[in-house]
Amino acid sequence: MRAEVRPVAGAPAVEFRGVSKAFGDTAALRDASFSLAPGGVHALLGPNGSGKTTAIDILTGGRRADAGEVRAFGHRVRRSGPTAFLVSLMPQAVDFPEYLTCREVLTLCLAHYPQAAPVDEVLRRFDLVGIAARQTGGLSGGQARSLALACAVGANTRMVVLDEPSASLDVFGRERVARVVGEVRDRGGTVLLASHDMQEVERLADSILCLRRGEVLGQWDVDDFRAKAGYRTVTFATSLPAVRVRELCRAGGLDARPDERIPGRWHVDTDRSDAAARLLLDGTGHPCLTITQPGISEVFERIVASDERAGVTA
Amino acid sequence: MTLVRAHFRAELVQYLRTPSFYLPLASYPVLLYLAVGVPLGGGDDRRLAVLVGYVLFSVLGTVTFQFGVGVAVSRQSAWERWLFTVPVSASTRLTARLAVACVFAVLFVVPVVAAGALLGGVPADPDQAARITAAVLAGSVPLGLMGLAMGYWFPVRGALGLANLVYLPLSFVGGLFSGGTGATSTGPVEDARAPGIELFLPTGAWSELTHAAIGGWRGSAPIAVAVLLLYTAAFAALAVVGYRRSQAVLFT
Repeated sequence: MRAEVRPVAGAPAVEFRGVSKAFGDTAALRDASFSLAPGGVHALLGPNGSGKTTAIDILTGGRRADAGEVRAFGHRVRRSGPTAFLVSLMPQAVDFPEYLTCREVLTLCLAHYPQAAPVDEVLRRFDLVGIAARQTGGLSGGQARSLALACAVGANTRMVVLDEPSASLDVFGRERVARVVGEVRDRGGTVLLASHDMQEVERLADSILCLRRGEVLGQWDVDDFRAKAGYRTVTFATSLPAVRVRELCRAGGLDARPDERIPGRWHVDTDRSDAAARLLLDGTGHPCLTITQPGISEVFERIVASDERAGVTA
Repeated sequence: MTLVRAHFRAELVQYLRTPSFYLPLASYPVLLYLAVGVPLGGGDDRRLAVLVGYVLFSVLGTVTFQFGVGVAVSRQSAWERWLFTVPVSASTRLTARLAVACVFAVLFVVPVVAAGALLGGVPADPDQAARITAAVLAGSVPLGLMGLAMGYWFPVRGALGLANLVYLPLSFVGGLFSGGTGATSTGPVEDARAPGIELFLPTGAWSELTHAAIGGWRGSAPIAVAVLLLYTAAFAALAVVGYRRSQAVLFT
């Protein structure tokens, strides 16, 4: 029986200190420093080539940093070291030995972890019972990703790293990812979720870490991240002519834009949503008002774009 | 031990489900032995020497293809990269791979030995059999390391080409098809002509060592052992450097 490795008391789940990594002339990570608290779902966002997968590879022992220090639960990360018992990975690229069945792959994967769940239980939990005896060479992309998710989560490690877990999954597969991530969080586990799917991030993440060109742009909890947009969108419907709507909004210092799909529906982006709502209620009768915060996607685009502009200016 | 067993089982099952791997390697040596080796005839020791040559040919096939090509294939797979992130040491995986190679070596050798006993009329007393087994195992070490070196230094296509290049020519030049230097005459092994340059090839030295084992360690055994030791050192160094190089490419 292999001994279980325990986290160092009070240590963060992940700690990057001045981590740099280059591939030839291309810097994948530049002096990256951040830490993630144990528990919860931490989203790792960034455009393509921002260093997300490199950071994940270094965290999980798949690559070595050129400089800096990486720790997980207080233990220094090294290949097959103590952190390998604490952190499991669902990689972006999945490629199982094609002649092994799903059950055999799962059995082999879970054999490395003393605290792993029983294979049959994991097969049931991930809806893999029907394909347990099928060789992995015959799996669809979605089935292979479900198996990869089962391997990572069934290990019952303190932290699960998911690199694009919903890519090529159908709606049921995405639901399963969401359910499983929620279960890991509920049992006190930590999830690091790298994803381009902003709906998934919106739904699951508790905190957000943004990378761009290998640098850490910032780290926020989800509410703070949304608030970084600095505005809310007031949506209303009216039968007034467009000229009248524009005059009304201009009088209140607002800029209204018509909805592209629904005639008579308008949107106003403002940092004074209460005042805008009052103005529209008084001026349009029954405007069917809704006030929404911008989504993570919009905020993310703004942050990356503003950083891009700052970079160009500098 | 649990992990070695888990990796051993997974590796073994994969190969057992790949007939294109084991059928040629299991049938080729025995067919060649029946077509070429058995008709050579000769006395008891000569027939035994010829049989042992095909046993070596069979083992050589296992180590060149399973280690050479097998390692090259696994080195480039995303699955291997994933295994870097799980708590398992390289030595555990190598031990499992070696154990699987031993299983296949035995599986591939059995038909050759059976054909020798049943159709070739080859006799061997238990002492001789034990000495020959020891010589076969000793010689398989440098050739196994050669296979590993190929796997770590070459990509899949290169390793496959090289394995084919090594398997047949090295067997032929090393005298494995004719029973080696000790069986080139029609007389018993101890009366055969002196070994030539082939003694300095890994397969030739291996063949010579097995002939010495047949004859009670007479003949060129010390030279064969020295040559095999040199090849062991050289291939071990190549394998270690190749392993580190491949890890550096994957890991850094």
